[in-house]
Amino acid sequence: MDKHEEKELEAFVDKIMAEAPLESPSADFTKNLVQRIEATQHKEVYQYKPIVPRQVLVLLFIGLLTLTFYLIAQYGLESDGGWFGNVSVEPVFDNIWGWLENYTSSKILMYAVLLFGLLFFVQVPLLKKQLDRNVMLE
Amino acid sequence: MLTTNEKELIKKISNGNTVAFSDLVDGHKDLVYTLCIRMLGNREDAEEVSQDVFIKVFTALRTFKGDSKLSTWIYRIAYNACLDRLKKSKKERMRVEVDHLKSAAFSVMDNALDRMVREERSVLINSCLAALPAEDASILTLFYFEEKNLLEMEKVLDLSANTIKVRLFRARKKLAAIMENKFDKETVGSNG
Repeated sequence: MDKHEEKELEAFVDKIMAEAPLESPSADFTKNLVQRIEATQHKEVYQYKPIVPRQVLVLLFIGLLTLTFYLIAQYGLESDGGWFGNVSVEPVFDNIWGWLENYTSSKILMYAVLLFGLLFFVQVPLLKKQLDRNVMLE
Repeated sequence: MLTTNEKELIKKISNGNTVAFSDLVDGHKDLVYTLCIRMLGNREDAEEVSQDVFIKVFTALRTFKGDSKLSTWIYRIAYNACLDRLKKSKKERMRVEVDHLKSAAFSVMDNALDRMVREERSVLINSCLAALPAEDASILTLFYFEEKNLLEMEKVLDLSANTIKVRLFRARKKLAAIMENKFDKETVGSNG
């Protein structure tokens, strides 16, 4: 094939290709594509990501361990030698619960409290059923 | 190399703006789909691969450095995706014999082509392109998509300009041979 024929061939193919129609994909091509992409994006959104980053957690853990070992080294393992060895908590509880020692209640009050407790447990399955139904409706 | 519009579009898409992405898809889907259909030879595969191409474009757009035209970069992804698909399906389209091509036949074919109604011509041209092997169909299609810019084609195909020229020549010859075959069967047959 000489140069002239090559030129002729080129011109001929130029003409064919200029006329070759562009093909179009299906009408909902773009819509389907965007849906696919949005689906993957949502997956990314719902992927579990810890609020505290891993590095901070590791640092906290190491810090806690060091503190524990430091305290053990400093004060030892004996319970009486620790921080709360000399703190007495009894007066605090005496103040809060002391009044119970002299308290007496009537039988009616006791029955009322018992009945209230009973009705409370009756309500639990009823409430659960109703909530389930509401959630299903959504 | 990128226009301001394209830069803006890329920025929006990188931030996850799907409306901007739809614009990009609408602007390029016909070209990508045409390349796929000419390389793969059937609509279902072409549609599927085109979808995958645009998903790849969406996820990889952040890595696009702008050293070529945006369309060139998209064609490159599409071309490689088609090659992968062909490799997987291992379908080889018919081989075209070019030895018998009568070199003086172009003007005759040209005249015959002129006589045909436009629609009929589109169908014939499409069927000839469909008969081309994937490599030739892709190189011809890209040559005209890239407005005959060999430098951009180098980026898509990862080949030197000289190799592309040789392959283009071969592809043109094959296309002409296929066309000649068709004319022998249809037009010439009905005239004689």
